[in-house]
Amino acid sequence: MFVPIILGSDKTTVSVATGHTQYWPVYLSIGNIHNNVRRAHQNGLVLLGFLAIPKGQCQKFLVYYMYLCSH
Amino acid sequence: MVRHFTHLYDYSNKRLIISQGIPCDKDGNAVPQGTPPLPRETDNGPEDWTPYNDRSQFELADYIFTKNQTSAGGIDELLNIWAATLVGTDLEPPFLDHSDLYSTIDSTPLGDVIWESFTLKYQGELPDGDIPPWMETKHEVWFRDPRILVHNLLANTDFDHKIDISPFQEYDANDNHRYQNFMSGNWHGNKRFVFIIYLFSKNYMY
Repeated sequence: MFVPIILGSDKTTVSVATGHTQYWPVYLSIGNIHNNVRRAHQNGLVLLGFLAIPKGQCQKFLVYYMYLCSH
Repeated sequence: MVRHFTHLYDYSNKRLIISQGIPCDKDGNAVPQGTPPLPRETDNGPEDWTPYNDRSQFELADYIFTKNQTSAGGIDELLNIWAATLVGTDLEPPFLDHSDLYSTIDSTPLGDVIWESFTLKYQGELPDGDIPPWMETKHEVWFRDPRILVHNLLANTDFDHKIDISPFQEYDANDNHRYQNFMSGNWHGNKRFVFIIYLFSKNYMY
């Protein structure tokens, strides 16, 4: 079976109850689901994870860069 | 409306794949149309309280953590009294201490997929002079297993008849290519797309 993975993130940051930490949510969906269902059905788009947001000049690539450095 | 399945060229085996989305079992053997899906593997019935030993252990955790919101010290005190009442028997209190309780709660599968985390820290050379704060802090990333998430999406019965199992092309009476959903896109002959399939085609069933 062919399952295209769709990943997305928005700039909305989430502060957890403790206050100081902010995360960047990453969403996941699959291309098999019909477009109108993916938009309307809340389970069509699921939460895959929260990225850390290091404070830096180029935040977009920083997480990935650190991931590479950690291996 | 005419609909036919997208032909894909399998570069590794030099043959044409026609993905038709035929229902099959986990070994890839075709099953008759209309065969009901198997129950979910994680559905072990109402008596399964994993990771709790039994119902009362779950209810205690729920009471302490959710309803009463007992402090860590309070939990330890309660469990110490509990343990004292069991001295001389083979029995143990439901939890050893507050960290045992917390780790049990943390390992509870939520919506069948557990949250996992890892911590990153910059390990390269530090610059002379001012060190940017991100180089010295630890950064936490939380995630859930994407494979299980996709399995759950595919297993969701709400999407019955609202899901396309294989890529296809659709034409109206005037032979106009009709695009509507992701899988009816113009994948035919798209080498980049076919190559992506090739990369992941170890378990590709068609």
